Amino acid sequence: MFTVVTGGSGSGKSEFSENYLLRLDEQTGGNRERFYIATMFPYDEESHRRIARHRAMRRDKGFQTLECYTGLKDLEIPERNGRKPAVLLECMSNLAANEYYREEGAGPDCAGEIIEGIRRLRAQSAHLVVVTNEVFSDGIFYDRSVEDYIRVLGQINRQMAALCDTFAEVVYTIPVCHKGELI
Amino acid sequence: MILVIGGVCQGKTEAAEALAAACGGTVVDDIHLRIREDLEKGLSRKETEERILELLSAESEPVAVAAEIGCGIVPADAFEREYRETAGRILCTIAGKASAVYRVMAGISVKIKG
Repeated sequence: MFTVVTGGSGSGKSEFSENYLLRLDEQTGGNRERFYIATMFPYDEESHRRIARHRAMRRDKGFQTLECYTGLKDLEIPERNGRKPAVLLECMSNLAANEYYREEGAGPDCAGEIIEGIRRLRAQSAHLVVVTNEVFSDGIFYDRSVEDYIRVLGQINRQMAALCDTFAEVVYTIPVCHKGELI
Repeated sequence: MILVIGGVCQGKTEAAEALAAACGGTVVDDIHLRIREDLEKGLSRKETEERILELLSAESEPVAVAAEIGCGIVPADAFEREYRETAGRILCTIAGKASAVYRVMAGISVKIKG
């Protein structure tokens, strides 16, 4: 299953996504390898704190962390005993920002590369949950590059929504399903 | 307790008033602004949450109303980031305690919990 989870800041979408992937795994045989693809580049104290909070939250959930700041399409996920793993990628807004803004990234035309990366990741996993972000409703006009980044993330979200089995939004811990069905 | 959320200018207060009239409850509006005021006074996230929960528990049937403010680009300003994150976390707590949660969009109220 391929599930996309979106939500605003502080909505509880991360915790929901971790637990949802565990539930998906358990309901379909269980005991798969679990990978957490971390995309937040640790650039300052606040991001280190945020990363530490997320690490603590998933501590006992059996995830192996793979860091991927750019170049998702080249990421190889190890397979064990011929069984594909359960994979959580968090979060698309960071991955897209890295690709868009970082020197080693694919630049403003990164949407295609990222979607190619998602397709390959999907092919390598039994279950894939991708966390993305609702950044589209604050009514603020930004400078050109931020407006363009918002456009790119919107494009990625729409394409993932077309590819996925289930698209859910988390509203203050409450899942609201927009496509498919939640288990 | 009932929680009513949604974007700005979507008819949250009207929806909350109708819910309060039906259950004999009291509307406690603008939770997000109360959170902001507390943070501006220098209160911590924990203190702010305690104050908000205290305010709500003073009513026998509170109908809490808050704007969803987390659906934007990460603010450049540190206080704005803290406000956004704190409002989200506190509303997660309130949603957990509420027996029903309604989300209002363009005047249309949808029950998402309860």
